[in-house]
Amino acid sequence: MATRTIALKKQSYILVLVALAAALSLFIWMRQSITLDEAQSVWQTSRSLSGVMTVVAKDVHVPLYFVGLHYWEILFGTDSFAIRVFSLIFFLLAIPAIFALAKEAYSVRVAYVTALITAISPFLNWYGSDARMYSLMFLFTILSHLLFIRLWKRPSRTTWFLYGAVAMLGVFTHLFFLFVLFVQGLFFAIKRDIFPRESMRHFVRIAIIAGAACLAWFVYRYFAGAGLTNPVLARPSSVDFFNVFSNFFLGFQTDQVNTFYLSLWPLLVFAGFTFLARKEVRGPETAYLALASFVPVGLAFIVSATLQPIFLSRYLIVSLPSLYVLVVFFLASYRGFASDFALSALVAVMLAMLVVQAVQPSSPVKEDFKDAASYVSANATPSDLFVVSAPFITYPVEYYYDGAARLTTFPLWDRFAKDAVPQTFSPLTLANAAGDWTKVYSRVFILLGYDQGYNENIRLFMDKHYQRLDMKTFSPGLTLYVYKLRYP
Amino acid sequence: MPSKTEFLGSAPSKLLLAANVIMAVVYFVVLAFFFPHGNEILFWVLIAGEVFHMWQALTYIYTAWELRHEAKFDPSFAPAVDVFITVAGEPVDIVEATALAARDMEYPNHRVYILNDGYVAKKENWQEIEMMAKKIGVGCITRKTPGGAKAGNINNAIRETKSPYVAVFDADHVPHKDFLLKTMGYFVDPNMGFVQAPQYYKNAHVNAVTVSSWEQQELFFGPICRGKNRLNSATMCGTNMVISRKALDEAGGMCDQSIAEDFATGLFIHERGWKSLYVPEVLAEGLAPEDFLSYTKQQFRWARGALDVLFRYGLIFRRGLTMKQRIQYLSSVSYFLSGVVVAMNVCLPLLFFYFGLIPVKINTMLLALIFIPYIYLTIAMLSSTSNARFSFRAISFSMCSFGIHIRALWSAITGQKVGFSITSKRGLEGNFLRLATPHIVYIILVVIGIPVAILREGLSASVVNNAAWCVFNIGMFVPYIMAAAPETAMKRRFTRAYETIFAPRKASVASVKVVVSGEEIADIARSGARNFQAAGNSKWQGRR
Repeated sequence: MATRTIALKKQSYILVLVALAAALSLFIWMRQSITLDEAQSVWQTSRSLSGVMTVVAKDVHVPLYFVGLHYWEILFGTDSFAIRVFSLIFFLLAIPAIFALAKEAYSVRVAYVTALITAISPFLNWYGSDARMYSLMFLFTILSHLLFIRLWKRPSRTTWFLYGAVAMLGVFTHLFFLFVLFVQGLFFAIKRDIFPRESMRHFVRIAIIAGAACLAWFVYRYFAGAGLTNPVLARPSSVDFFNVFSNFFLGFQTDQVNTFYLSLWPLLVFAGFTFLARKEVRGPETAYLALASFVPVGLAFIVSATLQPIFLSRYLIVSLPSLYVLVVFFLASYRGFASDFALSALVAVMLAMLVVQAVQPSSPVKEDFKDAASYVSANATPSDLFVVSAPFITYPVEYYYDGAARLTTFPLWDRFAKDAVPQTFSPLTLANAAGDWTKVYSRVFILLGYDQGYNENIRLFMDKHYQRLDMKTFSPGLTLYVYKLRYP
Repeated sequence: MPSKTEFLGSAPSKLLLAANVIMAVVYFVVLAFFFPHGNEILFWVLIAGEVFHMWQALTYIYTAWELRHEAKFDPSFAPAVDVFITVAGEPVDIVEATALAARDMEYPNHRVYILNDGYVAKKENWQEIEMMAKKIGVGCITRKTPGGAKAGNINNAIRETKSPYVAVFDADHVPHKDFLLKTMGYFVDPNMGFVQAPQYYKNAHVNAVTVSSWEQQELFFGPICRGKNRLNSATMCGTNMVISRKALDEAGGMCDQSIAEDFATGLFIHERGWKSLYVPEVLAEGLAPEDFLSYTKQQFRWARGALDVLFRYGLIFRRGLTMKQRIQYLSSVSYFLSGVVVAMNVCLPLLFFYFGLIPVKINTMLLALIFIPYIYLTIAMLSSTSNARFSFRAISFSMCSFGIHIRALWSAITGQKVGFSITSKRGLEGNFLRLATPHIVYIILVVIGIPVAILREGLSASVVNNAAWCVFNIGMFVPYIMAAAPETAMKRRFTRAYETIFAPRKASVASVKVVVSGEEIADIARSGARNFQAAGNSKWQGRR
């Protein structure tokens, strides 16, 4: 009877958290403008299955999420609400999943708090309602950790099968899932003695199957013209490195707030010393979760600094489940009121940052294409031109835009041509384009966002040669300029 | 009582140790060579400190790299042993408990002597000691000619006895029955000079001072002493040890010119090519200092003794030691130079607050990117090598001893004469906050300095970062200051609260009481369950 009551309590608690996350999504995050990436998801999936595979192959990602979204859209349409619910489902499923992971690794107490901070995490709430693959990747990462820990604690054929299946699905959700598998391989190499004897054989088998599937995809990508739409990422700085962890716990805050928090890092060193004599922190679970928390971020940083920039906090969501469990566990390892205080403080700070992220328009992750497009729709006439730069922000703009002025990109980009890439920017192409606009249109609305290195050149050129009529910033890094081209 | 085995149970991962070496070197190289200098003097002071830290880290890793060691042991080897119990005025009941335990050790061929220095030390109870020795049937050698403190006392007994081996115990260090059975077998190796057992504090649970003392001991008698075995560099600690008379004779007897007579004697024995061994098993139980003043005196004595070996005995240039032994001795001795480095590090934020001075022009997050992995690896290494026994409290007390170490350094450099003082094992009541004056002054300077810095440059990243370093330092100072504070209800509450944050779950201080009453000591001593050392505590630790 008592066991049933406890089980009921756990279920009720998790249900409340799921309901909380769902409510936050429905009342806050779903109402936000669609982002560039989301618009791209819609663009990529609103076609036949083979078409979806082709455009995804040309991009940097893998197809599982997009195939799923493709069928979801067939059932529920491409409305921003509908496509975001697809992601929300995975986020909500992740809450009981991370509860199970924390419980498997440590204790019910750790599980309760980990599930709570997952539900109120500003970072996860954002990507939980984002029509991209991140919430799915988060869910698969949790499941992979859970099953991996079970492989040494209480292995069974079912666990091995599920682990293999999640490994495969994870790899086809996002290539950064390979970091999870790398960490698991590394941990197995270090702590092989805690696994059953036949584990090596199973791991090799799974690696061969997953590797073959990946190889097939990469061959397909190669012939489809892979990487044509690769985004240009900057090389990360040390601030970016720590911003990842700041994002994980505090969400997307302004530079000022981030600077303040990050400058407090000596307190992390102090916290480290307080864990010195805690024998309970030395189990294999802690070693594994520590590797899973920091190795992907470290490797991505090193690769980005030396080879190819790939460092984005959303890609590194694979580090987040283990990090949450680990941090809660460490704080819970204090005794008595200190533990309660530390955990309460963590929850309070995350909750406060969630509110700030929700209400603050200058939150750096917000992309208010909706208002920008609506503004132009309301103010532009057929004799005006609406230009967006960088070219790819045309996706979210056209999702909302229904104005009378013609919409185009600068540099010019014919997305529907074979192997289309935007033209290269140069001062001459800008001068020529402006000359062409002047011949036909009386005003130009230029929306600058996602700077690819030339937005400031455009602004300076237009300011120098044309009369600026208006300027409006809709969200950080997204500004509309209106210029008079000629007098009627 | 603290665990008698856990501190001896570590088996650190070589991967972790190797990673630590790499990170230590990377951190140093990046800091030293990749950033423009700020204030030139501060920069070189910082670099000197970092060189010292790297030396400490690398020699620790070198020591702890392999903790397993096997030495030849023959349980049937049982030559005659003279067992010395050094006494200089300790209460009779305490000495009696030790003498009885020594007398009753399971060994076929040993004779116990109480080395009674009460007469030369002008202690009132010296005759009672003689009577007690007679009553329980052990020998008593009462010295009439003073000189050489504890070392002189032992040398005097050496002249009056003949066995080829001598075991030495402080008055409060009660040997287990099997002490000789577990140590003498190693002397089957004719080159074995001395065998040392851990110095275990059975009163570690009494208060913050005792628990911190013991947690510092755990690192030393755990990985450090175990690692020294591999390098034939066991540290002689002055109690719980057996020495070959021949080795001692060759070394010129116990060194009576140093207040760290045991450490110096160990060094001289090693110089003459003798072997040494540390037995990683608790074979005797003693007492930690129970009050802040005694702790401070003990730390000062160890520091001054060690630094004497460095400056007065010219450790670096002495002949006879192998390179491994020289590194080990230098590593042990140099720990006591850390006070200067700690003081320099804690002052850096103050120099920034008041004068805007910085040693290196570095992006604070870039520093964090190198420093945080380095320090977390170090923490993981300390935890791993000490089997999770080395604690926040221990590191706090180590760090906060910077004032004692600086004072010892100054007295060693200037050659001030320091007498051999005995650590009181009876908790002294009182307010010892004066001993934490530097730490309290530091807090005041921080409180004033932060607004000064904010007024100068606003709430910049540098101000926030330096303020966070000050919080770090103050967090380290608080347990030390609290231990020095007089016993009050507020202190008890605060200590309890602090304990919940920083004490390990299973080895917390059971009581916050600082003083154990005399009656309680006597009761415990009489029961035979415990013993309390009152004097003659002249051990050498050589801890870092």
